[in-house]
Amino acid sequence: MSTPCYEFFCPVKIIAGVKSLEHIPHELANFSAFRPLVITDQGVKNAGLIQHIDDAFNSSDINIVDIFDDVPPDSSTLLVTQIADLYRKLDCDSIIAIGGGSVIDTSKGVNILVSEGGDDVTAYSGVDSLKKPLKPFFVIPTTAGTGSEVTSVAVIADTVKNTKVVFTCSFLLPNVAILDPRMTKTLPPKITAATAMDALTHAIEAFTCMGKNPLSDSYATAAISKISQNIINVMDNPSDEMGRLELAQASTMAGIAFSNSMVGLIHALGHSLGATCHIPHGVCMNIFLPHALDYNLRHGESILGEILLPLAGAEAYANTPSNQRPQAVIDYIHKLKDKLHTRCQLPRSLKETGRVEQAQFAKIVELTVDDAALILNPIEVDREDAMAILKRAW
Amino acid sequence: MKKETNTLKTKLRDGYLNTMLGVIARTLCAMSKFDATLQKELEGVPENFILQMKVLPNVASMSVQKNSKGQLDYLGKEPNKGQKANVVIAIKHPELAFLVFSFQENNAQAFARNRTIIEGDLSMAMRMIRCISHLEVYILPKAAAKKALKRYPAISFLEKTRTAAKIYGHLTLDLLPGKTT
Repeated sequence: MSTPCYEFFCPVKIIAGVKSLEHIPHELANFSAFRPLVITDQGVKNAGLIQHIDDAFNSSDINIVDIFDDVPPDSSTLLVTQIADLYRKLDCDSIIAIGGGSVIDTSKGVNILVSEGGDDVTAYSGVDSLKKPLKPFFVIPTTAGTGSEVTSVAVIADTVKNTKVVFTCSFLLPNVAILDPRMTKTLPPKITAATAMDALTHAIEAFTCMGKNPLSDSYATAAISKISQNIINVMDNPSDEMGRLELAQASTMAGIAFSNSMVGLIHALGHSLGATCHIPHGVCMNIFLPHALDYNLRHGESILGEILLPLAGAEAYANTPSNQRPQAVIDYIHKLKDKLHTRCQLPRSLKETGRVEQAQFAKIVELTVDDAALILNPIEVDREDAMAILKRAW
Repeated sequence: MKKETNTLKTKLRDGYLNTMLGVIARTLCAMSKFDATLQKELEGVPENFILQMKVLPNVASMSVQKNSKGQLDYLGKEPNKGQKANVVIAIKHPELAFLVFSFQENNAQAFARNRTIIEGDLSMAMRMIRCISHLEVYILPKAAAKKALKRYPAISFLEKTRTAAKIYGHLTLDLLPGKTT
């Protein structure tokens, strides 16, 4: 049952489709922003995607002040401080983030510092710590998974404490998100698969966790449907621009859903595994998704079966007795994982990552029970439960 | 101009909220002196860490601090002068707080319904929430505790009674004249 009282908020202007990038100069001018700093990573640069942005700014009266293109896959609070210094030094007035989750979350951290002041972004961690709007912030996702372009959350590694710092506040939401099919077309197969599974997890947790509400449900189910209908097709036809746009839109919709309902156990496990073993977030989600759903189901979670309709389609839903639908959802996800593994060797288990030792389980468990995502998991999870799930996912 | 209606009802509600927060704070401190589960949770909390729980706007509040012995001390409604709470858990309105403290909504539901704000280190907040949930198992009647928690642990009536007696025993000692907490 949806929660009887809820809040829903998504003020992000979304510009999606062909030639969307060319809207950016006009949108910046709407915010009286004329000195943007671009924040991106080497992958985006090497894929030649910056050229599309440069082209979009040709024939406009706005120039990009500088491009910071060295955000690593696992960014840190120290890097946030470094980029904020660059922004101040160059007297920029806005930020354009181009990349995946790490670039976008790093840029959110930079926006906190350049708007609020200071050098230590962790001072603004937690929920609703920011009290005023930040600088104009545009996001161009180059993966279809994090949904970070429409979320009020940023997760940034604190390399000193070796943990992830979580920031949650509506002021972190970008002003504009641009979904242009050119920007995801060159995404490698393994990252395409991992980020799609990340988006699928966002949508499923948004739908099954305690913060669910009628509006987030509608985004979540639509996102699940788009992902299940397009993921294998895009894996088999990587240059299918419209298929990729569907995944990008699904990712954004899943982002809107979970930003307004939050996530649960799968993300708590994923954050902890990522922080301990430095495994990409999408891979963590792919590994834990069916196991955590199974845990919740066995301990009394009751609405998982409803997902079968958007996930497997009307015929499969109608042909499955209602009491078997929850298990059918889990079986479907296992089969999807197998298909993706066949196509790009996306790890299905902790063992298949080749980067996890069972000796690390105790640390992962400790981080999991301390992860705020657990608050809204429908079922209580203690250390013993988390350890059992890790063993099942091995 | 703001006009307060039903003053008696409001005063009773606010008094109840202050009492409940005071009871939670003081019993949490008492339990931290002997309970192994609570002490294990507190091992991961830095010394001098301060938790503040409050009901906005300044309706009710409590603060506790971890001392050098790994136990919790009751600070009163606010941290001491010059100190700042490391984690603040705030409920947005006294009516919403009353839903929680009258067990019509549990803590997780209050979070899910955006009634609660957490400021500060979320992992420490999770640890302190686990401490409070553990406390509630013993100080609340089983029916109320089952509503307040997602999962009520398998404990015997004898264990519950024995631990509750210990908590109130330590609480009584804490409240004796000459004690600072």
